[in-house]
Amino acid sequence: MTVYAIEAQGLTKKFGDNIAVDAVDLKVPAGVIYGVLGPNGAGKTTTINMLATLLKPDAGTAKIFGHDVVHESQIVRQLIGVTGQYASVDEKLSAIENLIIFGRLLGLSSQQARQKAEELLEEFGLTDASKRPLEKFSGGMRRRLDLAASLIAQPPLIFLDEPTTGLDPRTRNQMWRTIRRLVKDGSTILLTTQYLEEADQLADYIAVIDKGHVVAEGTPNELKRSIGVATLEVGVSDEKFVAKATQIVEKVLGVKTQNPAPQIITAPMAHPDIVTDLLIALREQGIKLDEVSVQKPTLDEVFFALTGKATPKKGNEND
Amino acid sequence: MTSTTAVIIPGEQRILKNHTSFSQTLRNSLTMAHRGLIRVRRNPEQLFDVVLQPILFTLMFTYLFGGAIAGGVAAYLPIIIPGILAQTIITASVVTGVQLREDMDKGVFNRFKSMPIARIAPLAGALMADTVRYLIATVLTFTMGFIMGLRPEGGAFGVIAASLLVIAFAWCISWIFALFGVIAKSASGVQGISMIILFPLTFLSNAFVPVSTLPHWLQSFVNANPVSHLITAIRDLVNHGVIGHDFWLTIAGALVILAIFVPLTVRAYMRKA
Repeated sequence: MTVYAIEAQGLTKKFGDNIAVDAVDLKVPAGVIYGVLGPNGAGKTTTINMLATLLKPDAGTAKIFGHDVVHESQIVRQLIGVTGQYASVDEKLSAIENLIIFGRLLGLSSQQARQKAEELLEEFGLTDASKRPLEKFSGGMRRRLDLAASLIAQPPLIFLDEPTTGLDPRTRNQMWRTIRRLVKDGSTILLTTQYLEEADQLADYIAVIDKGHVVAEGTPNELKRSIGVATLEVGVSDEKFVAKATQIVEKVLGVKTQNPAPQIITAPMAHPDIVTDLLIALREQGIKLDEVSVQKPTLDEVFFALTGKATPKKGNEND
Repeated sequence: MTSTTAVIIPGEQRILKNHTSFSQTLRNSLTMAHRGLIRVRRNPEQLFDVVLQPILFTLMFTYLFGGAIAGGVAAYLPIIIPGILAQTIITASVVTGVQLREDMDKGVFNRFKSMPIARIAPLAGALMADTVRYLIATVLTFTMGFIMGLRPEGGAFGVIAASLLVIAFAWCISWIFALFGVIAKSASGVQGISMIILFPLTFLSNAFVPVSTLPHWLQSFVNANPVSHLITAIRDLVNHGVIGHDFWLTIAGALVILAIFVPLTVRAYMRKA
């Protein structure tokens, strides 16, 4: 029998009357990137906090590599690294001082701690800034340092709570590369994100979470198939061709279309290959197009598809 | 697994234990104290209270009350210096609670909680680092006393023993204010609650005036006040070089405070995730 990196059953947390996490089940095999996808206030951070022994669950159990998060919390802490949504490093200390302190706390000698700190700073491109106070660090540098701090003990399981929220695209790509490399080295990663694209790019498995419930789970491809796929949008140059064009689109793609605007036709696009057939068919009928574009499903659409309601407005809930 | 570069030992192959040894607890606490000292070095303004209060209070109270109470500054110094020392050190231990609250609001405390370290270490370490503050306050108070003419009969032994006693006592009672720090919503809240406790304890003691001049009902409070015992113990040491009855009472009181407040504070700290 294989031991799961994370195995949670009926995990529940209430804050007063608000059920933040409601009977969540998770099974995360070792060696994968597991994405927890959901909007603000869905319960992602609360779930991580319970799995990382920062919060006690009100009901249910969770095991990390077979060790119970409540009864064997000190063992669990030796198996995990946590990088929170808000940088969990000491603002008043320099980058290297932070890493040395964490290394010392983890039982390294001062020489080992310094060596490890220097290695990690080098690896995360922070060597030049290692002695600068963190107040002068950018958001991306802080995240990198935060992740570096989680790796000192080389934990087999790493929690990343929204690791790229607020980062610019370049820094985000760097973070993605780091995450992929960690898994290659043998770590298991559970990351939360609000971005479908991020989950799609990184995760081997995704759990979609809303209002404390897991509403869907599977590989990115399974999930996308269940959600419906990208949307093809065709802009017809002349209104008189719209009826004809609609007919052709429906026939070639074999789906129902919609008319969000008078000269716009949209249709779910399951197989990108047949778009070529469609474009040829339209040209053969002499229908001129203003534009053709493909819209990937957004998180809003995922939620709409899975829960039948729009994502909660920002600011209503805190996670 | 066929990976050749795998440096990470799989979770199920690790040998782990679920309890923290005493030596690890001590090591973790010392590391946390080291962190506290680096912070003080970065922010020397954290030391304002322990630098200014000994200087100001010693000057103010000695010249203000000296003539009225003891018939002169020189005669008053052996009475007032232990009093101011106790008051300063207790005020400084309140600031410990306030600063702890501020520190705990920072994200780094979440990391400490997720690490396999002794649960008590972030608190114990922060409080240990603060003994440096108490040391500064103690040295400055005695220095002011010397400058103004205090010549302790208890000699170096008396002064050093009194200093150690007062610093240890401050560390013990700082757990009370640490508890406020842990449970309060804001740093200013800690300040507020602590001051209400602090003023009666420090002023309604034998710090400034002979107890015999007080109304009878107040005398019983002052005599029961643990701060009075601390001050008497300091006076015994500084002025006579003896470890008196009050010394042991103070130690006992400090241990009782530790026994009550360490578990309370640690539990409150752990609950407040």
